Amino acid sequence: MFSFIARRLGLLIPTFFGITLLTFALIRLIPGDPVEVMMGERRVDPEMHAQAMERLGLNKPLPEQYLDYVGKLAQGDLGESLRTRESVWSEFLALFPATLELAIAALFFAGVIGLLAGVIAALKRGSLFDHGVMGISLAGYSMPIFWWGLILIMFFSVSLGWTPVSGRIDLLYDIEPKTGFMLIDTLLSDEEGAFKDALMHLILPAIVLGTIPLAVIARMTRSSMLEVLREDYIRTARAKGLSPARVVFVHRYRPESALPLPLQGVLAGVFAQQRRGRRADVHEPDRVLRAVRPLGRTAQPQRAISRLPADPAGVARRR
Amino acid sequence: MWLEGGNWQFILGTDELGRDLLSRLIQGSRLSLLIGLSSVVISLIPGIFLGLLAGFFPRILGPSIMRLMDVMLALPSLLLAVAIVAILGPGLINTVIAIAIVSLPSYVRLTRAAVMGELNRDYVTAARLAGAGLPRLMFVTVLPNCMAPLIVQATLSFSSAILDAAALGFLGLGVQPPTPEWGTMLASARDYIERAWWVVSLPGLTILLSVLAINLMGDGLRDALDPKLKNAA
Repeated sequence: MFSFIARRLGLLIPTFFGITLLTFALIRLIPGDPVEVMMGERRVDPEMHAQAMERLGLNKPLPEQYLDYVGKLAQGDLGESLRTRESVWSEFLALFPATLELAIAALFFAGVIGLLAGVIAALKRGSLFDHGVMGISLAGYSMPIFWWGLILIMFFSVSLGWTPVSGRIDLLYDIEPKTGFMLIDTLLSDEEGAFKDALMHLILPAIVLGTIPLAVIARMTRSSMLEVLREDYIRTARAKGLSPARVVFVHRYRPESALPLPLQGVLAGVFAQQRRGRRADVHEPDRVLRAVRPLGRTAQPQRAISRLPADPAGVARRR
Repeated sequence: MWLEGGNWQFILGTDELGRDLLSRLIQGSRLSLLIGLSSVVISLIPGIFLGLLAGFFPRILGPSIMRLMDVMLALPSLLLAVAIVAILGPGLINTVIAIAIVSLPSYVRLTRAAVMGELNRDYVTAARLAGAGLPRLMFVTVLPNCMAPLIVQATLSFSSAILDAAALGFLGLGVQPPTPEWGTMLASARDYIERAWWVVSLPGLTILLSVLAINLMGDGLRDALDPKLKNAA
């Protein structure tokens, strides 16, 4: 057993080196001059350019650059962002709670609604509700969520004016980032209405991000519930005269609610990674839009992608 | 018509440059299906080949192929696709290549798992005893018995390829305007979100409907080919 675990863990090492090699190669292959990215559009005179290259260690041969990178990585130094000059770690730590907060909120939404819908659909198998839930969940599973986000913004934020269009909190509030979780920070501050405002900012992104997991959870819950319902102990419980609600939520519900949980764990990981790409434009518009938007418009992918060189190990670390 | 100023010449209205939306959506369907189909084919063929190799050579070649796939799986797929497109430059063919590369590992893993399951069966031993060479064993004896999960996976990744292509287009990295790709259309419609709901909602709706249709087909195929999985989500 131990040797098995040791062997599996041993496999991590080549995989890890593979990942560092791949991210390093991808970043070096992306066209564009890092110094120009740093300096912006202005023309840089050749001497300063050479100095900057020297300082960044970019004038060394590639294998040496790679070794430098891995060496620093092994010491926990992720380097600094080319654009903001801040260390990648501090940028990562500043942004990560927002990601985590959103992922948790989305999973909460997906878990609660998905389990309920799945359970009811299984109890009323073959009914209109059942067909409805299964149809909607298949649609949710096929959802292009970058579009879904736009549609919900259009409807709830623009037409109805219920939720704000973007950001994490209204500019009126000045919240000190203690934990980085906006919901907790607003609770800790004594500003009136700040918590509600932060919540309103979080709702729509959480719903959009939770849509696909919601569909998966509803489907899985329904099918595992259907299996449990056939078991004898359910009939026994009913025969004992337990109330229907008790049978459903205590007896029937438990066994299979254990099943979707690992699924949720997996999905939480998935989303923390994919959030930035897919749901770029709602939650943190300025930061992410800056990274995402200019790509096609300026035909200068390297400028927008300059977030990537800043964060090669951050990418690996997000797993 | 339902909307003020609408007319029957443009059934779904026109976009910001006065182009008929319906025609562009229809034209775009060709593109999305083309991207989906070609990226599936492009990644399926090397995927099967690598998977067979990994299954047949479990000592050195197999594990090294699998480690390589692990590395590719370790990066979030859309991020990897974005990076690949950033290197190759945006465009139709590069979008297809990026999506094909990103979906490669799933085929390799699936093929390898199926091959490992088949290799110990009696019919493989029999074929070996009958003197079948390695290529014959790989492609004629074992491969046809591994096809069921691969076909299902191919259908499902067809739909995710369409989604990824639209996502890349939406990020401005996919097919470039004025080509009527659905994701690209959505990206350019984003600025009109407050004034013209139809240019935003309709391209997405077509993406949703086509992905839904392909997923339904995939579900049906899975039920038909792989009864064991019938009730799994």
